[in-house]
Amino acid sequence: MSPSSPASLAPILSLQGVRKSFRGREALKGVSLELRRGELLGFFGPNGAGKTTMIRCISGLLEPDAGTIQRRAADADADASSVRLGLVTQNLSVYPDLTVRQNLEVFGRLEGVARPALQQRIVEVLEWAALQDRTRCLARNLSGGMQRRLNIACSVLHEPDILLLDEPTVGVDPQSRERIYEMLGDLKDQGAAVLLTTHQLEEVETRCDRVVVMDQGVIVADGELDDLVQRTLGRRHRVVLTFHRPCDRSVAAFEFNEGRTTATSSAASMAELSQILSMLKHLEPAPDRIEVSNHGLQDVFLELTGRSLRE
Amino acid sequence: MILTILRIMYLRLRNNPAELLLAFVMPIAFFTIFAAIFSNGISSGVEKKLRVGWIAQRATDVDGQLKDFLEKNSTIECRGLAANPFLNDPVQTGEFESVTDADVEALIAEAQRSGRFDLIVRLPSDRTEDASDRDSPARLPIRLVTDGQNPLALAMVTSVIQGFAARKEAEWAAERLLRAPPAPPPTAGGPDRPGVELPPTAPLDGPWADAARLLRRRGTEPSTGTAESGSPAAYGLDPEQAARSASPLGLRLDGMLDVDGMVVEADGLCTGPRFLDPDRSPASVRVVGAAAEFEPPAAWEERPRQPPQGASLDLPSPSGQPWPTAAASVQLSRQGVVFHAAAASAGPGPAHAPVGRAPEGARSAPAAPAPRPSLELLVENPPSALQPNPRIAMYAAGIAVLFLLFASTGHAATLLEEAESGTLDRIMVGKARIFHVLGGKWLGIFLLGIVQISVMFLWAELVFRIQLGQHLDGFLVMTCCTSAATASLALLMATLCRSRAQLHAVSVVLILSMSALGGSMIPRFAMSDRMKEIGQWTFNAWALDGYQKVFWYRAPVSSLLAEATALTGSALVMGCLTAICSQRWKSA
Repeated sequence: MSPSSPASLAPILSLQGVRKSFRGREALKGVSLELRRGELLGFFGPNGAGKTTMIRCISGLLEPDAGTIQRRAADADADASSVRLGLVTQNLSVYPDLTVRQNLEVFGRLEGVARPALQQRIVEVLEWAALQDRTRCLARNLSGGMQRRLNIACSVLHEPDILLLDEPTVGVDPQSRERIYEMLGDLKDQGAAVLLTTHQLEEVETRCDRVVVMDQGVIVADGELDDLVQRTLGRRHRVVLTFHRPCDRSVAAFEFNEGRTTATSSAASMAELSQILSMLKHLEPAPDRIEVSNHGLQDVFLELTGRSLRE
Repeated sequence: MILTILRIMYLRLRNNPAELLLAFVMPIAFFTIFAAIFSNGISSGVEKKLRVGWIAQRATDVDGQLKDFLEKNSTIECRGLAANPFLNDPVQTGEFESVTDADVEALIAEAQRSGRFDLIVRLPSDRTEDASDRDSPARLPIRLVTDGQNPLALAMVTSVIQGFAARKEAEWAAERLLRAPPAPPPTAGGPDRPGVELPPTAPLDGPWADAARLLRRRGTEPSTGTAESGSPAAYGLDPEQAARSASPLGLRLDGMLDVDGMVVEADGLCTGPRFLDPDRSPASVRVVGAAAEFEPPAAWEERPRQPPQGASLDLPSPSGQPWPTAAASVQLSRQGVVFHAAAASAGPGPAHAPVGRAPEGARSAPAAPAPRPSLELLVENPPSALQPNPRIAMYAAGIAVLFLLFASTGHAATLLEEAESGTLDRIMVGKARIFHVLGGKWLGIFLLGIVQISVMFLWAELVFRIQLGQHLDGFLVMTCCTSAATASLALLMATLCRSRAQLHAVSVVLILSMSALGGSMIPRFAMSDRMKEIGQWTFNAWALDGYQKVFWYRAPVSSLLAEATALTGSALVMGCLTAICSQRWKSA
């Protein structure tokens, strides 16, 4: 199914006012969310924000105290239970003392993949995860990146409609991380709805279609990155001046840090940015470094969740 | 789904040589060590003798006889404590006086530390009287020194020495009788009435006193009777017999050392009141005991089954007349021991009675010469006792159950491992449910347990010949039930614990406690009744009792109903508890 087809626009997963408490502590405080086919949703939040609880509720491992979680099949007449779900947990949820192929076999069977189709599907998934030359290798003997890829591969054997990933790239090198995002991109292109939680913000900025920020059991932001920046910070561009020695002069539109070695300003548009930069031509002392960048997800994240430690 | 979970267990085991080693090779190694230890000791056909050390600081004949007695005992291996011969046997070397208490105590301490003796017999020098004075037996103290490692040693050696003491007392009693002057003719029943005066009333005196004292020491209080001395009725003779009896009755001492203890059984033969019982009255009187140095008279040499160390004596009748001709044979039977009391006879030879329970009429009928009383002990072994190495099968079962518990807990711990790693979450998100996971794991542990026990017993069959083939049906029943209970217990512990570390700590304590109480470490037959009762709360005990029935008593499968019910029932109960406790993993 193509992500651009009409069906892809309809949400395959809907959460409405989901609440969940543990011994009086409310982990989810009325979470509402939609996930569409062919969408890669980045899910962010500080530790303890309730991300894992939400994923466990979506996957059926926890029953919410209140609210509804609905899965919708592509075919309106089909049963919601026909929507296949895949889960990639934060830990390596494979059997370390089974080989790569054995892991794929047993998880394929546990997912209900028919035996005749399973072997073919294993070949496809091995190639997709670039593990085809490690089929006889015990999982515990694989590199960290390979183990992560195997971890994901074991969850897609049954071609899930929804794939939930809880920090799937923890502790892997950039090459493996790049490969994992390529794999997720492939799934998205095949029409699967992918929801991932991660702290790798830079890659999500460029790869996720939509970003949801959660804090203290509540979704505090939901949308595309530019919209979030605009709504959260109001200004898109940022200018940072760095001085070797403290600058004793004030500069219009810039805010200095306490040591007066760094000054920061922001601009809502390119015209405003040009104007700020033109003011720097006559600045004495001249800054040693001028850095111009766009506001990113981290700025939004910190703006929304604050800079204080949560744990 | 269950089969897939089962396949995961199989693949994990196959891919882990160390786990395979732990599951199969380690138990066999431990079992072989246990079997090797016990097969050379209490469990084999060759029973281990009690190791008794000997040290004497005095030299009397009695002490020497005691040492000979201990050395001849088939259950005892009696040796001197030290290499120095005069310390070991000062009686022989004549140097006992040079042995000091310090020497002896040092020897004993060294011997105990070496572990060479189960018990040490010490004869200290502090005797009260001269043992050679037979009329006044000396107090000869015997000290038994034990470090308590062999709890049976003290009881066994005490029993043997008490037996020796009883024998010596009997000998002394008989000797006194021999040396006693002939009793004067009875007067109580009339001067013309022949007979020997019996102990009609207390206190007993004369030649009967020693016998009476002997009986008292043995816990049999001779009753005083009302018989008149010399009265034929006092000897159990009816008037007709008395009429035939032209001669005074006499006493006969008959050595019966080979039937030690019969003096109590046969008290009717030598105590006063028995003579008043016409049904049990003999025509002659026997006092048990023998003088070793006394040679039986020629007239008795024809008697069959004369005990080699026994001796008989016909006391001269007080009147100097021949012994009565009213011969009778009496048979007494008590507690399955049949013995005969021969009739006194002044005829051409003593009568012989057939061995066995005599008919009523045989008591007064003149008969063939009766054999000496004899005790025949027959050890009846059930078929179970005749099979080789039944105890080895018990050790195999004990070790198998112990390791089965550890192995099962280890496999059940994979449940917690999967929960911690998120694998269980992944499985539960798919088609499988917790029922499938638990079912698959239970089945896997159950089958693995059967294989593990089977491998253990196959090894025992190959090496120790436990006759597995003859007990196959009972073995399969017990193995299946035991494995089922083990699997349920392991999964219950896994669902109750929150982490593998917690499970490990709990399981080690529980398994070792159960195994100790249930007989996997210490055979249950060596436990007290109280400990056996406590052990019944563990299914190790039920399992081992079942295997014992199968391999030791050769019991049919139907006799395993109690064990099979207990094990299967506990498996079911624990399985239900596991299902309840596993709800925390149940998916929404």
